[in-house]
Amino acid sequence: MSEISNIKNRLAIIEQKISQHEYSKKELEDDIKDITKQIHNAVDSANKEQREELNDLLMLINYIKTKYGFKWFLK
Amino acid sequence: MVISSDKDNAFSQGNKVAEVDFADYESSVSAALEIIDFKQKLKSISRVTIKPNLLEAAAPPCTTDVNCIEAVIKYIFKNNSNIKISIIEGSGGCDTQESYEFLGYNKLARKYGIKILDVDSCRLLRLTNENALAYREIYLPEDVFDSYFISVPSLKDHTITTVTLGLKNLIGLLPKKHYGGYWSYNRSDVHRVGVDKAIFDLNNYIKIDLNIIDGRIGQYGSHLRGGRKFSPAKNLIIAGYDALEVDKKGAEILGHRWQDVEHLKMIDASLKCELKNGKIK
Repeated sequence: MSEISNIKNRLAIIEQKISQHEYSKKELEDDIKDITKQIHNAVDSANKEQREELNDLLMLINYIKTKYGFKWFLK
Repeated sequence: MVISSDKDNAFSQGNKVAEVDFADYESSVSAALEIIDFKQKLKSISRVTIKPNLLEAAAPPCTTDVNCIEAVIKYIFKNNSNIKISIIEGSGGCDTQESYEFLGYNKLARKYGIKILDVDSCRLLRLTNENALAYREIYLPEDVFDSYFISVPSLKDHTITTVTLGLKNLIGLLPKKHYGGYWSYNRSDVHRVGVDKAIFDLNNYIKIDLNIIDGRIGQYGSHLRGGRKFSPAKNLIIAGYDALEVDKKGAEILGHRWQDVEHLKMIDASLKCELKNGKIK
């Protein structure tokens, strides 16, 4: 599924930007919201194996959301 | 509107599934339990254990709403005030105490004088089943076996198992000291052996006496925190003694054919003696 590869590539860019302190909190929040939506959309058309992979990606995204304390996510 | 239906499959001791439109937790849960005549059963019960789904310290519909559990407790006490009630859970994504505190369960326990049990500090029983698909030997909390057991999941899809309802809720009864460690989640060993097989085995070791689905909102696509909520909300409470039939109804409301949900299909087949070595004949 090329969409999963797209998501992974995009996530790698986000992680790189985080590690190089290139994000404002607002920008990071916007990117994370957007990639979450992309993963959710991918889940809707995924088969079982792809869903397992997408589940791992969602958990990784949730880890980032928790680590950076996004209030809308934690409430 | 109140709907009830009779099915001819007897996974548990009754087969009526009550489906009640949500007004508020107290009246809707009570209406559902009236339909299945739970009042009558309560006369002969002395201990109840309630298992919500508190995957992590995250708000409903990712988790079972504490107000839903309160409505169940109120109904029980209204009809038999001598019953000893416990709530049991083993959260997947955080320490269970964190979920209990964040979601208001500790406060609930103090209000009604009920016990809150953490699967990870319970006394365990070692059980065996030669016909199990994943766990021929298993460790489970003792409290589950000497009480009337009520599963109260939230109405949710699951990224891997399609739905997570009453039957899958039993995964939260696996103690992390035996079933953690595969990856960061506290019960992650089920992913090593196959989640559907683990659900199948758990439901052979433990009999759910009553299954109540908190369908006030509903979550689709994923079971995790931050998943998408149904809009409009599903606004339903579903209840019945036949946990499989209740879950089939829940799956249907979530937009799935139950035949496409592996663990529901496996349990259904096993009841019809169509399952051999984990494969449907």
